[in-house]
Amino acid sequence: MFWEAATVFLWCAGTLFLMGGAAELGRIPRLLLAAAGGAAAVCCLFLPVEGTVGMLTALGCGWALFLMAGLLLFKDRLRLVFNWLLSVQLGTLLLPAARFGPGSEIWEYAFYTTAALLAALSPFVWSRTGQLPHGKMTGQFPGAAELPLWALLFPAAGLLWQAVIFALIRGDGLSTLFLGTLALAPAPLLSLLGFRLTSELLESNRREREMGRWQQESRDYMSVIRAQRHDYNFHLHAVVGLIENGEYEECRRYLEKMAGEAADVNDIMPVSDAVVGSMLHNMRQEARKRGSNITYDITYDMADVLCNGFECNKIIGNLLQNALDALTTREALERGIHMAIFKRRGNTVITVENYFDGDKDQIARVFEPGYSTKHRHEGIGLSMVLRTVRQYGGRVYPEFEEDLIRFVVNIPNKVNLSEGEEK
Amino acid sequence: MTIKTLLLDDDIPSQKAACAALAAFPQIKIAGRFRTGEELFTYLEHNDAQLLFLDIELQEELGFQVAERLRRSHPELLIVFLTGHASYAIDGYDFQPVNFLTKPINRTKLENTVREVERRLGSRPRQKSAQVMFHLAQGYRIVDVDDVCLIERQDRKNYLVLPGERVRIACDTMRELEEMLEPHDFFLCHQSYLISLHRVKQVRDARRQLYEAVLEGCEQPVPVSRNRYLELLARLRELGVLRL
Repeated sequence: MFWEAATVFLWCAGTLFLMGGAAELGRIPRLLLAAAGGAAAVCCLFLPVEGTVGMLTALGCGWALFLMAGLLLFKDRLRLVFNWLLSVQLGTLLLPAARFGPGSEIWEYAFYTTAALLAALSPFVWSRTGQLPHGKMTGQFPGAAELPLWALLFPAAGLLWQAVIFALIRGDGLSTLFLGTLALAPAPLLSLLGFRLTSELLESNRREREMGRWQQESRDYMSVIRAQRHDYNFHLHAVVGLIENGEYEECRRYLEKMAGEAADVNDIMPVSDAVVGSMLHNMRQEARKRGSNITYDITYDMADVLCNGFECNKIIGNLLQNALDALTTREALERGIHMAIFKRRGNTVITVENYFDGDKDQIARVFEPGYSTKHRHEGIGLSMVLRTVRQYGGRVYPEFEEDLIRFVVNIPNKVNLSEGEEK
Repeated sequence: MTIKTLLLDDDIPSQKAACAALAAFPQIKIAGRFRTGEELFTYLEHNDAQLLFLDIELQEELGFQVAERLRRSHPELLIVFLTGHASYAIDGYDFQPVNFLTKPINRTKLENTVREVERRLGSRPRQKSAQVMFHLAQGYRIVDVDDVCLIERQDRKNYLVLPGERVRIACDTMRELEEMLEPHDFFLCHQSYLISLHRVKQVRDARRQLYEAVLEGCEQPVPVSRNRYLELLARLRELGVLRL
């Protein structure tokens, strides 16, 4: 009786432990708990199984083994393991229900299937909402929100596996329950693996596409600069000709136009990365095509920023693309987009500002983990920016001023060791 | 109100171009034009000014060197850098877009610069209030900057203090919050307190150099570090919040 009670206690404690965020615990208490769970599980295997208590005992041992496996892993990987454990647990909760059900084999099998389905789908559901069931460990699977439906094939494979296992082990008593619990495990694992693989695949596809665009853009930019150089001779002759003819007013107008064109390129010149420069140039062309404009205020070349040129390009490009997409009303087109890049306290700051009269809370919602970006185009770009910037310990936040929205991106710079860190 | 402005540029046509561009702003009054740093410093010995347009590529030295000297001798002089080199990027110097103009001077950018200068000199009321998004423990929230009294650090956690409300901030560090709110006139007056300068009603010496600030909408006075006290007063004076 003592052992049964102890196992039930451990089962309850374990559940509470998972729900309460075990990540707060130190390594030693975690290992102790795991060891206790494991020992209880091993003891339970030798106990006679009778009645409700026996049932719970059997459940406990199966579950405790999983807990032990999870706890033996390191903290950051724990999050995924916990998710998996909870899925298994959800499933095991249904197992005794099957025992107390109408009793026929069909019912029992139906219960097993529901449990397996729940277990297999739970990581997917949680990754969609971005919330793991334990408060502290909120997190998101990489790219989970953008997964296609065929990613569901993986949990389906897990279900198939279970069907096979159940067909093989159908029987009575401890072994059924224990193996049943064990059989539930691969489904969520498989789905996790599947999500991981598919999101990586999607990411690499996207990278390739962007790479192509990147090269194209840098060629465009170089040709703009080359053309300007080439025109220089021609302009010079035109100016000399105008002055010789005494057409000073015409000459002034001509020079003003020239200065304007030069200023266009000058605005972008400070950026050290030609690819980023070309993207800025192309975005401005695009804005002008739509009857609007982008003004640049760039006083920092981003030479020391932590992320590489490709990522800078991605961050700035997405921000500008979002701003361009927001140019839907006449007011917005007239106001245009304003962008600044500067250095502040050893950080690179990028701001993009445009007219905004929408729902501000909607913007705040985009930042919530797991915000569904499938149907809202602007969310996709922003979540990509967020992910890249956070990777480097940077921050992104919106500011609102009257009818303007301004996204501020703050990315740390490399620390120059010879200069010494400030303070 | 007119702004007494100086111009330092070794190139006469450039000087003329800058003057022509500035002529569009009646509040800018050009009191002197110089070609070298020495001329400027001689002038400043007997005169004062509020604003300086400073060319970066001078013949004998770099504009930054002049700026560095000015920062020590005339800290209150606002400086706007001018440069013909678009790709001029000097390390170790934080250029805000408002204090950096490329030649030929763009009209819109100059307007922004003049507006910012006026704001700093206190001759233009603050722009209408801005809103910033905070990542709070309970989620993301957009907050009116004017509603924020201060941010305080307690037991290694940061709290956003609004009138009658105190909420925990999720994960930003004090330094990050300072960077975020600095453009909205917030000041880190103590390592655990980031206060809104516009809410300061009084700064007093509680007892023997234990300074504290009284904020509007905040019952408890906020401690002010001894080494930040003078800077706080300077910032308040600059903003015209307190008549000191």
